[in-house]
Amino acid sequence: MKFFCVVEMLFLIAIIVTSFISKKYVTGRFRYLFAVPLLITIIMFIRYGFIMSYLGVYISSILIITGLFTDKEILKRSIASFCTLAIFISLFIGSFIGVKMIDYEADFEEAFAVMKEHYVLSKEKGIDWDALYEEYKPLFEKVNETQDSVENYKTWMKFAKEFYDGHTNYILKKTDDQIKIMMEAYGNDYGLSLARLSTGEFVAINVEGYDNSYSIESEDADLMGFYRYKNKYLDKDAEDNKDIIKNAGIKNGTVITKWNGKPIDDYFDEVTYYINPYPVRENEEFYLPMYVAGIGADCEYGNCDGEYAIVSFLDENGVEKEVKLESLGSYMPRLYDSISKIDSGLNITNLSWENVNEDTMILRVRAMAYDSASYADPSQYTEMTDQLRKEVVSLKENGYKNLIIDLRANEGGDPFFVQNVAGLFAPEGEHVNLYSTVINEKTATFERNEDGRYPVKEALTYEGEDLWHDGKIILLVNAECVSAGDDMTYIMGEYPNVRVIGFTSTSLRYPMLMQTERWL
Amino acid sequence: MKNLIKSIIYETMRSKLLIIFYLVMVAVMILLGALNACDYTTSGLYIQDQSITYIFPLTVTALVVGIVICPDLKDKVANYEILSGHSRISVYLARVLCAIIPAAFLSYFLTFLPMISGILFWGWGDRLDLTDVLLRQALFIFPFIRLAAFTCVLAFMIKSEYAMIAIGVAYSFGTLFLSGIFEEASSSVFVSVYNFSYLMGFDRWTIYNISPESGIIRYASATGSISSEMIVSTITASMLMTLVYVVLGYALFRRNEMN
Repeated sequence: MKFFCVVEMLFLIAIIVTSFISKKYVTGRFRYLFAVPLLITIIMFIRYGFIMSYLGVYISSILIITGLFTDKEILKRSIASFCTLAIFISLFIGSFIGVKMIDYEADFEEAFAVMKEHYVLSKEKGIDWDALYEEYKPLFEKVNETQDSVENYKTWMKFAKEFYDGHTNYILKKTDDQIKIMMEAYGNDYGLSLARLSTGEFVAINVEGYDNSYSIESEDADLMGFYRYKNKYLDKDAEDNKDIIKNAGIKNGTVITKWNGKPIDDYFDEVTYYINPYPVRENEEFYLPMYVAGIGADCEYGNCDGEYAIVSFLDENGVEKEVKLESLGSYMPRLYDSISKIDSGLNITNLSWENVNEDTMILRVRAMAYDSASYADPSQYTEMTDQLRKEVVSLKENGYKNLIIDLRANEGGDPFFVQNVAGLFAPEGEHVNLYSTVINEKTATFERNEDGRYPVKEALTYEGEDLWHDGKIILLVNAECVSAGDDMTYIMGEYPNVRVIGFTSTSLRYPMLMQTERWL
Repeated sequence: MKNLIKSIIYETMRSKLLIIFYLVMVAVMILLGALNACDYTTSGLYIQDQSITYIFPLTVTALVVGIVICPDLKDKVANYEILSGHSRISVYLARVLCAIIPAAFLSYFLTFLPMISGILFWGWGDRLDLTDVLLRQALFIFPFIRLAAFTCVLAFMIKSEYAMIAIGVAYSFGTLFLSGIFEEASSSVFVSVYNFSYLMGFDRWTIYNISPESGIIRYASATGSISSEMIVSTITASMLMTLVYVVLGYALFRRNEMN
């Protein structure tokens, strides 16, 4: 925006200059300079829309046209000078007020109204819309006054969390602001993340200074793009302080007993928003410790200028010790790295195989989609199913007994993909995948019965081929196995030769799904 | 000025380029409605593709302005008019009036053809209220007048009717392209091409259901009610900017070397 204003000022200065030389170089083309500011203003409208603090720029671009109605050079110079000054003042005002006032409150009102009208699980999740509005309206009013984009993000994430629905989330547009906001929303980096073991103990993970751990010196690219910005958020003494944690004897797996003098789970109620939604309470509790690791001493979650954290841990002899860990910068890159490491699946192409040992193969299913033709028309899955069938039969003939289907970080997708894959392993006979429900086509809403439930319309069925009836199948899942990934876990988890294992259950973003209980 | 207007009208109505191009656009707009509304009914088509009414008429606006203004500047007819005693302002205003009014109204008429052909073949349907849509489309005349005035400024600078056709094509496809990239700005009434998408921007809601035979089926609903803010802002912005463009055009024309 400022670039365009500067260009416009340059053209106005050019008008002043040409007014001096126009008598010597007589040409009518200098007149076109008077039209250029208006054209630049139009481009600014196309790109940015109307911004009140730049009103001076808009008026200047119209006012300069009056210079064309006089032949007196001194008058032209005066008008151009006045317009240049008006643009300069606008730039000055714009620097203080900010490029654009965003109506955060209006955004909330609009989104809330849409959600209240269209959210399909209000009854099932016991959503009290009036109570939600009363609680969040004042928060968004405050955000609107302060124009704090980070607080806006946090408030929206808290609001989305109220639904415990993996398909209800607040997603920032992919801009530089997105990264800035996330870097500032999750606290400070004290050189480690935390995880809870099944024994109930909390341990350090992703500890600074160790192989396979995230490091502040890392230049590896991450999918979100934090690596491009992390140096801007590094603490000035980070280089000196990064070895404190390793020198204290904390490594990956060290038991952490207290955080800032408190038990770690005492912080759980403070963590009111996350990067990803966790509809299942068990999954939420699994990830909570990771978020706690960004809270400094005398700090609140997400509002932390805390320069340090006091960490109590058990050394190699089981003796409890304490260390003061200085802030290294923003916690976001380490947090994202920790979550990504736990949530990742096998990094191979969708529907490809990898050998585990002489009798076990792993099939990676990272998304429930094959190609655009099959996504549009379920009858087009024949090619995929035929290929997969051939591969499975070949494995059987080659003596493999065990299959692992890696559904970790499965993005979900098409339920027809799910049943075409699941059908190869299902017991023979007809099985039901899903039921469709009744839609009011005019209002594009789901209809409810008189008892308030969604009626069942048609069953989506598939035939089982039981290709692996003599062998074992393991479904490998985690909290990022979502949507249609939940679907596959649910229907395959019911087969007699299938077990479901993982750090956590799936995301359970399939709203009506009942969780399978077949855990290893 | 009356005689100038008469002569410009006489000349324009005999332009083969304009007549053929316009008839082609009429056929295109009729077919757009007739062929596309079959899947949705006409109201459904308006929800699915909101730009169908105004994208191609934008080219016609530039074409008409180019045909009215540019040839007379190139072949010095305008120069002779000035030499024969007509004032510059009357020469200018005659051309601008004969460019803006036909360009705006001819383009405006085209925007209704998909609706008419769609209703004749497939009916209006019940996805949107017809009155709301007609009211929104009635407001189209204002951004068309504004766009025609802006195009007049360009025509006086460029002086080529073929370049104006290219600009018209740029209007049409640039609109879709820019609206997609600059989503935040694309509801601004201060840009005439965005004003159209603002007027045709219905509040939409879509869901999907699953059918064993057809797979995933999507359903969309929309509300077409128009706010007073939309009406006032469209009319005010259009009239204000039309005045600015007409003044700018004369300011550039005033000392233009016509020989």
